[in-house]
Order: sequence, then structure tokens, then C-alpha cells
Amino acid sequence: MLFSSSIFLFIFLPAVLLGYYLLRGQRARNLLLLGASLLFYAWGEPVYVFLMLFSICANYLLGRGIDARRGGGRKTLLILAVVLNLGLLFVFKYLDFTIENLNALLGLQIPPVELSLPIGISFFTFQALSYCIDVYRGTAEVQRNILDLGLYISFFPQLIAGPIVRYNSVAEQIRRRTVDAEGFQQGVMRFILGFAKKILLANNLSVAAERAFTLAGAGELSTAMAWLGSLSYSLQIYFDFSGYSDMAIGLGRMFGFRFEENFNYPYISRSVSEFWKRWHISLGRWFRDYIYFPLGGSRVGKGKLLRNLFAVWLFTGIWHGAAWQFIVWGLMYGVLVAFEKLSGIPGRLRTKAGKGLYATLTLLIVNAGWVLFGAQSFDAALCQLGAMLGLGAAGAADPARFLFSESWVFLVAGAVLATPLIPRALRKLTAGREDRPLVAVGRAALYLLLLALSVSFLAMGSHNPFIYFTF
Amino acid sequence: MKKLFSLRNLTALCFLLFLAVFFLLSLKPFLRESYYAIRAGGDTALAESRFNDFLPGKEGWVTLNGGVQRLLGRREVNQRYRLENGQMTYIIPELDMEPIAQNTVDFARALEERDIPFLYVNLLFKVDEQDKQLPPGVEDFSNENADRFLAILRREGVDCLDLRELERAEGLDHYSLFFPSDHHWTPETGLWASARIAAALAEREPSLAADLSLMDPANYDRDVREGIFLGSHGRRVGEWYIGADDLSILTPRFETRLRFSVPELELVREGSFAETMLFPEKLEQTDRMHSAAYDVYTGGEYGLLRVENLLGGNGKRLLVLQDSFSLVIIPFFSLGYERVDYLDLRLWDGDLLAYVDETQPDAVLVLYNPGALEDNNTVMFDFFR
Repeated sequence: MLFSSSIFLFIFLPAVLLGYYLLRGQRARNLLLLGASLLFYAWGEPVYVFLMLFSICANYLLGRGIDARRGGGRKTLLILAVVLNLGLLFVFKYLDFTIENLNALLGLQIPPVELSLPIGISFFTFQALSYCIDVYRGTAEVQRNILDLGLYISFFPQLIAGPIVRYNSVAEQIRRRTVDAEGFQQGVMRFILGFAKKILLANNLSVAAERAFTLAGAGELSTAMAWLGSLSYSLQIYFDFSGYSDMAIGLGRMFGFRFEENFNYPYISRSVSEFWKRWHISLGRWFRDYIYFPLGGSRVGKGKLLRNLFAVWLFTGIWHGAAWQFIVWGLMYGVLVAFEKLSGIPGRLRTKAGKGLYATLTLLIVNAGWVLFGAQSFDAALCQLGAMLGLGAAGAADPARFLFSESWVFLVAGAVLATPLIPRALRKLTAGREDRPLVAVGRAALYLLLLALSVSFLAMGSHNPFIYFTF
Repeated sequence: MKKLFSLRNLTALCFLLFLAVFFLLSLKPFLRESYYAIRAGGDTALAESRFNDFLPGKEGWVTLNGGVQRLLGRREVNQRYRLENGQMTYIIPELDMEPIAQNTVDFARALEERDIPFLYVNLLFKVDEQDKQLPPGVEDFSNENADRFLAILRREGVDCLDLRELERAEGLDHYSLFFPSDHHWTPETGLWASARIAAALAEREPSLAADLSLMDPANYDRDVREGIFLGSHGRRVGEWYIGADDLSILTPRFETRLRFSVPELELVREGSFAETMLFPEKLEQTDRMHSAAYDVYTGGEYGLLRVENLLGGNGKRLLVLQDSFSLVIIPFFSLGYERVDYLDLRLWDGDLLAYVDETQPDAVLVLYNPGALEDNNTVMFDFFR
């Protein structure tokens, strides 16, 4: 089930909220949330809910085992947990990619397994791994209640598109949490904001982006269409992904959870390194805590630093999808971050013009990166990047002008809303006046308008892509 | 949560009220559509899609959305395009016509072996080949597809009637032949097409000649119902975007006595044109998202519809393969013949040639519009099942 569906909004969410607030006691509420989460997952993937249950049971037993043992046995169980979780991910996500490459490399003819990818598997396996590692490190207490661990791994708000919640950041909240009216309202506002970002902006921007990717695949892309497509996709993926995160964070707050932020206006970054501190923050932190730091982080020699960086970025690329374009995309960021770390740029730039130029360059690189990320194939990505550099070859009819006339409003709105300008202005405007009737009514009217407009797009059955199937 | 009921938390309260109202209104359609999906052997996607179709306040939501899209000046909404003249259409990509043309040729040959005349009639598509009215950069290939399709049929000696040629020859205003909010043509156009098809049939087979005065607009009364029809495009984009269309109810001034039967529904109506061909209750329906006033003619689409002229017509029996465009052809065209069987291959699953052998029609016609042409043998061109 997707948040951006009428069944979620009109049936699932009200039913779960009603049940949650009718029940008394954390245990009953957790049980309800676990049941709802499994139903949420089973709605679109009835078979793979058993995979989820297996993951919960196996990680529960491994966690208990790690906690109970000392010495070598403890490490063996941790290795087993890593192998099991990554093994699941490998079988469902990377096995066919591996077979395809082995066939190409060694001239073999191994048939592909063609397993469909369980939705959200990259998110929940990383969460399960985080639990086992945290228990091993002693940074979190073992979870003795399998139902509570099940809730952590399968909790529906962050199940299919993150944020990746590390166990030690929510362990206490699973045991004990409270919801106050203020927190609930914050959750509602955050959910509506994310819902609107996804449906009003991301979905409408996706039309031009997808058209450009299709034309690039056919080798019929003009320079104008290539740019329109790439800029639309850059904004689409931001509003889609951050919209999902906003919805997850908002839903979490409605049930008393506080998840960490996942996005922080990444397109205002002044460097590539800064971009990755603002984009998909939970994934960056996961890799930092569970790969980069254990390898020695940056407090090592240059050679090891490069190794550590490339390991993280290789995994980042692979995590996003089983295709070479994701690996190249990840490694591209590895090179850029290594360059910035070793050269001290942009910190060493003294002039405003230099810093501004570097920030612009960062945006252009990120934009080109998204072409690589979203294209139908590596060749199609090169075609689109070539077209952006003026090597385009439009087909009989170039749709750029029409699609721009259709989507310029969303492009402009997206560009403005990708910066903190409006939230800052609103905060300034309402600072100290939150309790005034006019502010309360105005705020409610604004959020209801966003909700109504978003629902109107849902009701229309308009284009509503889910772009995390490869994750 | 005791402090929830304060003005400060108005946003949360409104949201909860919104959820509560829509939850209560949605429960019934959700349970009904989920049950339907399960019974139909479908999955959750089917349940979801059907629930979305019956969302509480669906027309209101679509209307609101259409208003916003109109304000934004958008010309593509929900895969429908607004033409320069304000009408709506969908577009068709360039397709390979060879497979369906070959199947049509084979079908014509099979009828030839049975000594049954065959006529393929190419109806009109919303987009005019010579005046497309589409936004710049948007292409429609429906007419080009039809040109290539008809060229193959003619090359193979299959008899064709292209209504586009007659339309041009008569200098008709193409877009006035269609409903602005729909891809279908108006009843007036259906009446015009009926007369042209009957005339073409008579020209080819004089023994099939029908009394063309039965299809002459001068012999019909016209009752215009203003703003009553929200077409299929209109249902996707909302009335605030495209507006609702007028619908004419045409009734003959001459005597008629017909039998209208739909075997699958065990429906048999006998009486005058108005008593058999018209379903006035279709004009009264308030749920415009799931009903169309256009269905006032014949009541809707059926797998097999048989119309018998109890006054005898010209004594000839025809078999017509058709789709929804014929809803406004059937009432008028049928008047000229003794009996016409109308098959819609999307809804009828019998053996077509066995049916031909069983009913022995005096001629077989296919009435399809260019929008029905596909690049493989989809059900409408599956003549040999």
C-alpha cells in the first residue's frame, strides 16, 4: 500500500488512528501497529509478508543470541546476522544482476531467477541489521519482546521509503512514548505537507521527466527536452522522496514516534559533500555508523581514507539499485567527495563568486547525476547527458515547448519550495502569534486546501508513480 | 490528548474530521469493491482501482481538479488533450496496421467464400486529419493509421467506405460532429452516418437498398437537452475544465414498429422507436461519473443486440460488427432493414463464423473508428476465435 493512495488515506489511516486511540496501554497499541503494518505490507505483497515475518523472527533470535553470548560466539552470530540480512537482499535484489554479469563475463548461460523485488526490502533489511549491530556493540538493549522488534522492523510509516531508523534511536520510544495535542498537530501538518509534495509537485513534474527518459531511450532527445527532463526529475525525486519522508515522520508523530529528519534542503548545498549531508540523511548516517567509522573514518592515512570513501559510495550506489548505472552514479559521488576532502574545496575558496560558482557547479553535477540515476539504461543516460551538452537529436516532434508550458508552474514552485525561503518567511510572520485565531484559522485553511487539492489529483486517477521499486 | 480541542489545534481537528467523514462514507464502497475484486479473481490493485472509481464525492473532486487545471492553463489533463477549439481528445500513436488489416482481409475472404458481401466502414475520429487543433509538439496518428489500414484493405480488394472522404466532400464542420467533452459523435452525426452507410451499401448491392427517407433528418423531431451530458473525457477532467454538452433526442415523425432484443440480458422490447430505442431513464441519472446520458440511445453497449423491423424494412438481414460509436447509428440504420444483428466483439465471446453460418446475413459490415485500430489482433479484430 502506498501513502499516496485513496485506500490508505480514506480507509487504512483512519481505521488505525481510531483503533490506536481507542486502545489503552502501550502493549496493546504496539500490537495494533504491528498488525496494521503487516497488513499494510501484505496489501500489495501478500506472499512477501512471510519474508518480513522470517526477517523479524531470525533477527529476534540472532539479537537474543548476540546478547546472551560473550567472546567469539557473539561475533559469529553477528556475522551470521550480516550474512542473513545481506543474503536476503542479495537473493531478491542482486542475484539476477550478478547472473547477468557472470553470463556476459564468462560466456555462461545461467538463466535468471526473476524474483520480483519485495517492496522496501533495502529499508527493512538495513533496519534489521542496525538492530543486530547495535545489540552487538552494546549501544542498544536487546529487545526481549518479539512483537516490539517486529514493530521496529515493519512499522508502516517508514517501511517502504524510509527514513531508515536506526534501532538505538527508537528503542526507547517503542517501550514508552506519549502523544500530546501539539505533537499530533505537528504530525498532521507534516503528513499533509509530504502528501502535497508527492502528489501536487512530484507527480506533476514526473510527466516531463519520464518523457525525456523515454525519448533518450529512443535516441530522440532535443537539448531543450533533455534539460527540461533532467530539471523536472531533479525536482521530482526530491519532492517525491522528501514527501514520503515527511509523511513517514508525520505519521510517526501521530503515533508518538519521533523519527530523525531525512532531508534538509539539499539543493541549497554549496558542495557535493554538503549535499550528501542534506540528502537522505538516514542512509548517510547508516553508512557512516556501520561502514565508514568501523573502517576508520577519516582519521586515517590518505590511502585508507580513499578506500573508506569508495567503499561507502560503492555501497551507496549498489543500495539504490541492481544496475551498473547506480554503481557508476555512486562511484561518481565517491570521486567528487574524495576530491573535496583532499583538496579542501570549497572551504579554500575565498571569494563569494568562487563559492557561488562552486555551488552552481554542485547543482549541475547533482542534476547530471540524477540523469544517470533515472535513465532507462546507461546508454540512454549518456544520450541525455550528450543532448544536454548540445548533442541532441530531436525526433519528428519535439515536445519540449508543450511540456514546458504544461509544467512551468510546477518547476517554478518546486524551485522556490526546494529552498527554505517560504518556511522562514512564514515562521517570521507567525512568530509569537501562533495562538491568535487568525493564524490558527489561516493555517488550518492552508493545510486543508493542500489536502483537498492533493485528494483531487488522487480522485482523478492522475499519474502517480512509485519510484522506489529498485530500492 | 485532552487539549486537542482548542483553536490552536484547528488543523489537526479539521484533519480528523475530514478522515472521519470520508472513512464513514468510504467503508461501504470499499467493502463492496473489495468483495467484487475478490469474486472477480482480482488482486488488491483491482480493489484499489475500483475503490478509486467509487470514491465518495468523486465528481466533486474531479470538478475541483479540473478547475485548478483550467486556472493553470494546462492542456494535458489525465492523458486527455484540450484542442485549440476547446474540445477534448485522446491521441493515438503510430501503429503497425499489418496484423489487423491482414485479419480483416482474411475475414472478408471467408465471407466471400460464403458469398456474403462485406463492407468495412471507417468512421470518424475526433482529431481531424487536416485540422488537428492539437497543442504544438503533440502528435496524433489515428488518421494516418487508418489511411495505411484502408490502403492495405483496398490493395487486397476488400470493399471499404471511408466516411472521412464523404465528410470532406460535403464540406462538413468536423468538430461540430462530435461532443466537445467526449470522443463520440453526436446523434445528428450518427443519423448522417447511417444514411451514408445505407446509401453506400445500396450502391454496391442494389438488392440491399433501403428507404433513405427513414434516415433523413428532415423526418425527425429534435429535442435538445442542454448541458446534460458529461462525456468520457469530461468525466476525467471535470465540468469546470470542459463544461457539459447538450444532447439531442431525435425521434422519427413516421410510423415505426420494432423489436429490440438483447439475449444476454433476456431483454426484449417491442413498440415504436421511442419505446424500443430510447432509454429516457438514462437522462435522469445523477451519478455522471458512472453513467452517460449518451446511453439514452439503445441503453448502452451489448455483446449482441438484435433489432427487427416489424414493418418489414427492405426485407434484408445484416450483421454489423461495431463499438460504442454505433450507439447513435443503431437506432436510425436499423429502420431500413428487416433485421440487423449488432455484435460488439469486446463483449461477445461466440464463434463469429459459426454465427454467420447460422444466421446467414445478406451482408456483413464492420463499423470501426480509427481510434479502434490497434497494432496487434486485439479482441475487436479477432474475427476467427
